[in-house]
Parts: sequence; structure tokens; C-alpha cells
Amino acid sequence: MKNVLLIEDDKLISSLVRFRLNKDGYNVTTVDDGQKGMDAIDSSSPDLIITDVMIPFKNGIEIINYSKKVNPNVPIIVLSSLGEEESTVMEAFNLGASDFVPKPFNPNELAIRVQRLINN
Amino acid sequence: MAGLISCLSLLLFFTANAQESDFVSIPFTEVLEEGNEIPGLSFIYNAELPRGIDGTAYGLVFKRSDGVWASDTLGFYNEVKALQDTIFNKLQVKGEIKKLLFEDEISDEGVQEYLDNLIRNELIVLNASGSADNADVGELIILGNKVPFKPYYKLKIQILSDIRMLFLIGFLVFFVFAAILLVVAIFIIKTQKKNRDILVKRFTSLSYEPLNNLLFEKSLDEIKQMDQRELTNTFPKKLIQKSLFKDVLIQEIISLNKNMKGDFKVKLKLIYRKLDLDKHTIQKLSSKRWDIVTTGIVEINEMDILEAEPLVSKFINHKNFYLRSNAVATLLNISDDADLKVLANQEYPLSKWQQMIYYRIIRYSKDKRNIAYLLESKNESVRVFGIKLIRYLGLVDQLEFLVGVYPDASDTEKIEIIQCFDMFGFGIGLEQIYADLKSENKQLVLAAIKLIQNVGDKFSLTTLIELSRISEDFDITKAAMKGVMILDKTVFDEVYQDSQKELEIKISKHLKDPVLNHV
Repeated sequence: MKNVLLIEDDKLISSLVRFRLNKDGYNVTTVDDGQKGMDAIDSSSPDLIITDVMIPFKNGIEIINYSKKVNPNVPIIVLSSLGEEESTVMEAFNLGASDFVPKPFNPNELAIRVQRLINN
Repeated sequence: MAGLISCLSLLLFFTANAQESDFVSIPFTEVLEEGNEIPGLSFIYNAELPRGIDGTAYGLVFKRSDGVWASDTLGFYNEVKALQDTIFNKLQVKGEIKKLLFEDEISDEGVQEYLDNLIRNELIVLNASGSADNADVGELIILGNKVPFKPYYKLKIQILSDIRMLFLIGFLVFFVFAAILLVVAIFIIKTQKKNRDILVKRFTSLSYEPLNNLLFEKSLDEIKQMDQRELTNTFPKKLIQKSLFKDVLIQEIISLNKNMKGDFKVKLKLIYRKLDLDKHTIQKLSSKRWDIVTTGIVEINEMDILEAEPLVSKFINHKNFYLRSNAVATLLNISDDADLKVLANQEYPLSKWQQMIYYRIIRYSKDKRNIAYLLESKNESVRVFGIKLIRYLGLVDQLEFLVGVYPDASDTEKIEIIQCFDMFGFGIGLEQIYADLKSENKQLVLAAIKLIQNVGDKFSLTTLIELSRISEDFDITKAAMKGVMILDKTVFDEVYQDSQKELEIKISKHLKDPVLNHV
């Protein structure tokens, strides 16, 4: 079973995404801040990371940076608001983010992107 | 409240001081001769008797150390005075009366001070007889005689007999009571809030699973086919009737609605309706608390409850800013008010924050909006907002209309209109704007100069040169000169090159400096 790490401070979104990905057979670990996210990258060895940009303690960009240092092959999907600064999105891609899903999003679309990235 | 207490304390203090200063000292000889016994005060008679006279006949004892005859220690002054008089009458010897305070000799001043203290602190009651002639103290003494003697050690009774102390104790009791009441109230409110937070957390976690099941396990058609009872049964039965659970569920649905797209949005609105949460939302509009009403209006806005439009419109001119702002924003969102009448009829001035919110709604609205009503509104801030909308939304077809309203517009509107003309490079009707170069409103003049420099002609050059010469305001002179330079640099050089005015020379140098000309 593949491990997905979800770093999202909105518990409702987090529960919804976990529910949807569980249906596809993924083991989803959820954390609600950036520091816990970094700890989880070390401890749970995820096959894919989904992270919000605006999260407490460490932001999504720092998570991408850290993850790429620890394990550069783990794909990362950035979940963020539509109004996010373009520079932030560009920085995320430059650091190695694999995909960007703007909010509001369709969980089914997200599930397809997860499947595609993990299979690749 | 603290101020009131301070004032009362000061009042009490000054009253006490004032009463203290009213105290009248009674000569101690008068008091003693009246036959009063003064606690702690006693007397000894001393006399040097002629040789051969035996003082024991008068009750005296010979003291070898002093070589004088002395009486016993006597408590009443009258007794010792009588002894002195007797000896004087028989032996022509005056002798001396010594005053003792607790067996120590004391001067007359000391006796007077001791007596004054006793009287001031009401520690003795003087005999009234004989003192009635004294107008100042007589009445007090008579009154004092009517009141039974109350010794100082009965402090409790003493305190309660003083009206000032009663007031003070009353205040203290009141404040202690109020403080206790406040602490209890805070404790109750905090406990209630804590309990509510715990319940909200519990209800939130309880709502996740049913919502996720409905969103991911059921298709849109399946949800449509479910009746209300069936849908209600997917949530905890006991909780779904509770108002707080409904509030939590509404918040979760709204939050998902903001973050989801596609079918999920439709599903969420369907669930919201089928659970009768829309009725719960509409009920909030009847609340007397403005925050609950505002929450209801925001929910109507988020969930597009079109049938609530007449109820929301009652609040568009409410005195509460937040209520009014949300009501207008909601109606702009959910109503088919293409003429923006809800805005045009605003009675209160629009703040910048409100304008930003309303602009955002109008900007991203799918329906085309007609702003003509806004420009005819009785509310100046609404008219100004309407002009801003022309600029922000690029409604160039309205520029001709603005030319028509310009002469009668207020200064604020004129500035907005000028900025609008400037943005679109619209130069028709400039003659009206030339007239405003003489206005006393500096901002209006500066805006007009900026427009003229951008869209002006040869006539504009003459006007600006004239303005730069007659204006005494530095900013206006500088703006006018800059305008001339932008319109025609050759003319600028010709006009100001040989200027004798120091200000013109300085501004001219400044404008020509490639580094400073933007400052």
C-alpha cells in the first residue's frame, strides 16, 4: 500500500482528501502544520506528499525544499488558494513541485493526479 | 466608577476635616471647676507653712526632701482648690496646685491639650451645669448629656453611629458584592464558552464522516432521490435536531463549498437544502442579536438562498455597519438587480472597505450591470463609487454622460471624473475643467492640471502658463510648469528660460534635471 503524506491545516479538507484517497487504497497520513510535516517526511517515508502553501510554523515552500533534500524522488503536489502569488507558485515549481492544484478543487481530479504521479 | 469612589472619598475626607476644624477648645480651668473628673488627671497641693504650724490638721503630710507640706493625690480639682482656699483664708499661704497626668507632673498647656483630645474624640462627657452660658459649647454639652456615655472600646457601635462610616462600609460591601458577582459571571461565561467549544469540536468531527460518505459514496442523482428522512438518518439522529449541530454543519458545508468545485458544490447545496438548513439560516434573520443576523446573511450569500432576498433587503440601510455591508453584498450576489438599485438607494456613505467588497462582487458577476442609477443616486459616496466603476470596469460609453454631470458635480466627484477622463485620455469638455483651475480645492486643481497636461492642446498651454504665473501655491505652480513642459518643451524653454522669478528658475531647473524630475 502506497503512503501519502497530507500537510493541510484545514481539518475538513484534510479529512475529505484522506477519505477520497483511502477509497483508492492509499494509506494517508495527515498533519496540520509544517513542522509536523517535516517530522512525518522523516518518519513515514511517504511515496507522495500533498502540501498546502499557507500552513503554520513552516510553509509549503520550506516543505518542498526539505523533502527534495531528504528524498528528491518523492513527488509533491501543492494545494493552494487561487489567489496565491504567482511568484510563490513559480518558486514551488522551481524547487521541484510536481503539480499544483488550486483551491477550490475537485477531490476526484486530485485523486487522478495522485494516481498518475505515484504510478510514474 | 473609580472616579465616583475617589470623589466620595475626598468628600468624606473634607467633611471630616471641616468638622475637625469646627472644634472649639474649652479652657481646662472651666472644665475642672465645673467638678468634672478627668480620667488620668489628678492633683496635689503643695505649700510651705509658717514654722510651728502643723499641716496634718489640714490633711497635709510634710515632705522632708522638698521641705514642703503636700496633700494626698486628689481626683477632683474642686477638692484641691477648696483646700488651697481654706489654708489661704486661715494662714495667708497661697501654696501651689500641681497637675499630674498618670502620676507624672504636667504643665497647664499639657492639661489643656490632653483635655482637648479627650473632648475631640468624645472620650468624656462633661457636666452641663454652669457651662450653659457658653454659647459655643453649651448646646453640645447638653446634647452630650442626653447621649449615654459610650466608651471607646465599643468600637463597633461607635462606627455604626457615624453616618460617614456607614456610607463607607456600604460602598465597600457594594463593591465586594459586585466583584464577587463579576467573578461568578466570568466563571459562568467561560465555562459556557468552554463547553460550547468542546461541543463544536465534537460535532465537527461527527459531521465529517456523514458528509464524506454523501459526497463520495453517493452520486448527485442518488442524493436528489433521497428524501429528507433518509438524508437525516445519515447524521446522528439526536444531534441533527440541535441548533448548535446545525450551525456546525452549515459552517462545514460552507467551508467545503468554498474549497470544492464541480459536482461537489451542487451536492453540498442539495444536502444543505434537503436537511432544511436553509430554514435554520433564515430563522437567524429574526434574531435580535446583530451578529447572529449577520451570520444568517453571510450563509444566505454563500449558499445562494434566493428566496431570502426580501428578508435581506430589510437590512440594506441598517444602522449597523457590518449588517448593512453584508446585506448589500448578499443582494448584489443573489438578486437579479441589474441596475444596482440596492447600492443606489444606500443612505449611509460607502466606506473604502465597502467599495472594495462591492467592486469585487460586481467585477466577477456573470450578469451585466447598469451603473446609470448609481450616478443619479442622492448619496454622494455612491455617485463617486459609480464613477470609479466606470474607470475600473472600462465603461467608456459612460464618459459622455460624465461630461454632462461634471458642472453640477461636487469636488470629490469632479476629481473622480477627471481621473476617469485621464485614464481613458478623454479630452472632450475640457473648457469646464479649465474653469476649475481657479478652484480653491487644491486636489481638484492638481487633478485638472494632470488631465490637461495629458490631453490638452495649444489653448491648454496658455492656460497652464497663466496659472503658473498667478498661483501662489508651490505645488500648483510646479504642476502647471510640469504640464507646460510635457505639452511642449520648446514653449516651456521660451517662457521660463529668462524668468526673473526665483521660484520659476528653481522649478525649471528641477524639472529639467533627469534625476530629480520625477521627485
